[in-house]
Amino acid sequence: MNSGEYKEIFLTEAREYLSNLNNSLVLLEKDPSQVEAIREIFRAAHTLKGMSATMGYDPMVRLTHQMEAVLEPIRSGTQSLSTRLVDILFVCLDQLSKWVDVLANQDFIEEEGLQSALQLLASAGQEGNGPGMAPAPVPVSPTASQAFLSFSENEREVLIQATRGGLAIYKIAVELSPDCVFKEVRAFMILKNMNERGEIAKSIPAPEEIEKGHFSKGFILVVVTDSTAEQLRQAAGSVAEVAMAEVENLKPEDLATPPVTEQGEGSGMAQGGSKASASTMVADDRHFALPTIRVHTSKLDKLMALVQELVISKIRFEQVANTKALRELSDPLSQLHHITDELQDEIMKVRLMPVKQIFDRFPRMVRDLARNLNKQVDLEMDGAEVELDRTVLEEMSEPLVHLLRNAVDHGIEDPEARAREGKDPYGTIRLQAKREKSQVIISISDDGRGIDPDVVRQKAVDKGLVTPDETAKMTDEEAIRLISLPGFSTVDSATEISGRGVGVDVAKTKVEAVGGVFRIQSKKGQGTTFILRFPLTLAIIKALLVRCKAEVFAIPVVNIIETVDVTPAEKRTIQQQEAILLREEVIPLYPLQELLEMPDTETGDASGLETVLITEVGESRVALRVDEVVGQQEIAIKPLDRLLKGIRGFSGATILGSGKIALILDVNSLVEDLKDKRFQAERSLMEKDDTHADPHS
Amino acid sequence: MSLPKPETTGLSKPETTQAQWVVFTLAGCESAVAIRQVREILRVGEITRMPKAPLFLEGIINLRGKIIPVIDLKKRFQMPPVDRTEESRILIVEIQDQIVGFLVDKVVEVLRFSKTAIEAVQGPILTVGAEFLDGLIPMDRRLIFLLNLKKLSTLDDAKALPDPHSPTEARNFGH
Repeated sequence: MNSGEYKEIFLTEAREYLSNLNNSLVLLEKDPSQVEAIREIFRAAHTLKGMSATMGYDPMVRLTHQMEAVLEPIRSGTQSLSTRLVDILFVCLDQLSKWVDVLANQDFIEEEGLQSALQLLASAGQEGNGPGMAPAPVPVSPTASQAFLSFSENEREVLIQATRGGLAIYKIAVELSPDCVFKEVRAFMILKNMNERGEIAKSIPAPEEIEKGHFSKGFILVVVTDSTAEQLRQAAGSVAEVAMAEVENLKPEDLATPPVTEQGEGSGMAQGGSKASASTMVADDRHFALPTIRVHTSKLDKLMALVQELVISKIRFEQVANTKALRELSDPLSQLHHITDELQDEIMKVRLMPVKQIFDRFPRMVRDLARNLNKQVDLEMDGAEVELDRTVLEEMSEPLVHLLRNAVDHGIEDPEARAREGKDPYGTIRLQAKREKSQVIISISDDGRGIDPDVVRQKAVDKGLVTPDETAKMTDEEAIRLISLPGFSTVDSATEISGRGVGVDVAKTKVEAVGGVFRIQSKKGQGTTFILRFPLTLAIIKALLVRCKAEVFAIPVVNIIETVDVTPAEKRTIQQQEAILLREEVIPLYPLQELLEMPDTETGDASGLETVLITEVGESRVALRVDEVVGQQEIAIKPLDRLLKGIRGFSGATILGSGKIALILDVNSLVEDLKDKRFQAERSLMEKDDTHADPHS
Repeated sequence: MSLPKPETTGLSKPETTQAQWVVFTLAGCESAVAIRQVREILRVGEITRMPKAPLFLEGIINLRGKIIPVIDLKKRFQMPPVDRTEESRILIVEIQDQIVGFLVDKVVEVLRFSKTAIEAVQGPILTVGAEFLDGLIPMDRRLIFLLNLKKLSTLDDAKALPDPHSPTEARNFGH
């Protein structure tokens, strides 16, 4: 590892500690009695000091050292935390963050900012300029070493109950032969046999892991049964490729033995028959128990890309085997299919990160905003542990920042106004994440003034975004949606915080760009909720493949509501716009070839039936006419590079099993562009009529 | 005070060492790009058309799992069309993290000459605007255009050449 890699690690960790510091400080500011938060701050400052010292970043060492010195009397309880000190500590944190940002681009930091921060700290604590000895860190509890075949109080209870009921407890150590190919199959068979004879009370590793073949050589089961040891041995040994099956009867007193220590010899496990093989299993399992390792995200991306390639090659193999009817290949191919599926799944899981990663900086952000605006705001966060693919997480951060700012700035009223309304002067913003199938739903709700649909109507008309006629026809819900139009703002003076009210518009665009869905709910006087739905991953999605002319395109399934065959009788033309009538709903119809600006040639078969996809574009539905639906499959999304991104209407591309490329359609932009084009054409036609100018040839 | 960094077009940096250039033909015109910019030279396989793209974007190809745009330089310079042959190639070049393929009629040879041999270009030559040229190499009876790949690696054709097609005419898709 070179020094650059050390720096990378330093930067990542320093950011984590700074984010912890910020959050603990926000907590502490609200409730100064939070002892744990003080300890946390102290710990983080101390660790940061140590890290900076190792890297030789002297100004950081000096500042964190002084922070520790000032915090010490507070930690020991001899002094209480003043609001002034909290403010000063925030200033110090900002200075530290600034240095970390600088270090991302260069290898040294200037002392600039250090003196003023030190002076602030010195002015805060009377003992701040004392000897400033480095206090000992609060000991962190050692991570629990993985106990080996130890039983919890509960498990022991259940097992002892079972022996009283006349059943016996056996420990079965199974080892598969080293060249076993179908590990998971064999393991599954053994589990099945055991389940037929009794109940598996405990296993190492967990049963799901065993079924997936996630063990090195073997595994251990604890079975409660009325069978004999010999019967169990046969049940396990009858499965092919089992190298060893040791069965040992456990007495209730065996269960009482305390958890085995890591010094494996003579331990509970080794009491089993084969000492040598058992202890190698212990070693392997302990290896599994290593807590975590840090991997650079680019390596994960690379891995993901390789798996995608693998999936594509696999599909090609399958196609060849199919067309050539190579029956001998069907077994190995289904095995390959199984493995690649699981590999893809596992790598996807590795790429998942908790939303905490971005939620963590919000408490400080909301606090600062509220302070600047003289508002009182509580940020409640829920579901920070919900996990999402890293790329989605990155795309999610910006919309959330916009919406939170919006909530503090426009949503929550100032304390006086709230008091007049009979509300708690403290406004509440709730940021919530939850997982629903393959989607993650993030909601941001405030208990502020809400959105007044009539004000929105008026404003939209004033800004020339809609006509008075149009607003009159809108429901309140539809009117509220107008705030997400580009350039709309409900507040007259553009504030420093949410700019010119571009927030909602930008957030909506961003969310939809990653295939998400954006919704607004609001009740005047009661508050506003923004609901954002994100796909769990952007790397691999389900898509419908459609043909238009000779080309095949992919449309994400999440955007499609249904596919229908439309007869001429079901079509309408309203103001030169084709539409279809579907269950009493009029849906505008666009031919895909026109959206894609492909030359118009005769389409539709003799029957007059047209294949139409009903898609959801933003808030409204759009029908797309395609030449053919080819099928549905999982596709790996390849990003388009800078140059190609300039062409609107495509969110990426994918490589089909045949090796051919299929572009992934962004139906929203395609429809917008076509509407624009038609509008322009109409206008130039009108201008021509007005001036009677010669048509341009 | 330090001076602003000169554009690395090759011209502004006086250099005596000999650089290597990949020479190819476009509708009979000989052109060249620096060999260090060329990542690889491919035979022309299947190129997927990209709808809504400018005409000179020939399409996109799958290069070992990466989607690479392919630009047809003849269309870009509005040179007479030449049918694809066995000798047609795609030059994969890398310019500032951007990988682009250029469709050419034939790769002729790799030449070595020093930067002092390069002559500056004053105005457009044939249909090629001066901004797309880093210079010219006159050799015996040959004249080799040195292309500025950075300027060519964009779909922004507003400045390239006046578009003879009226804007309302739909862009052709497919042949």
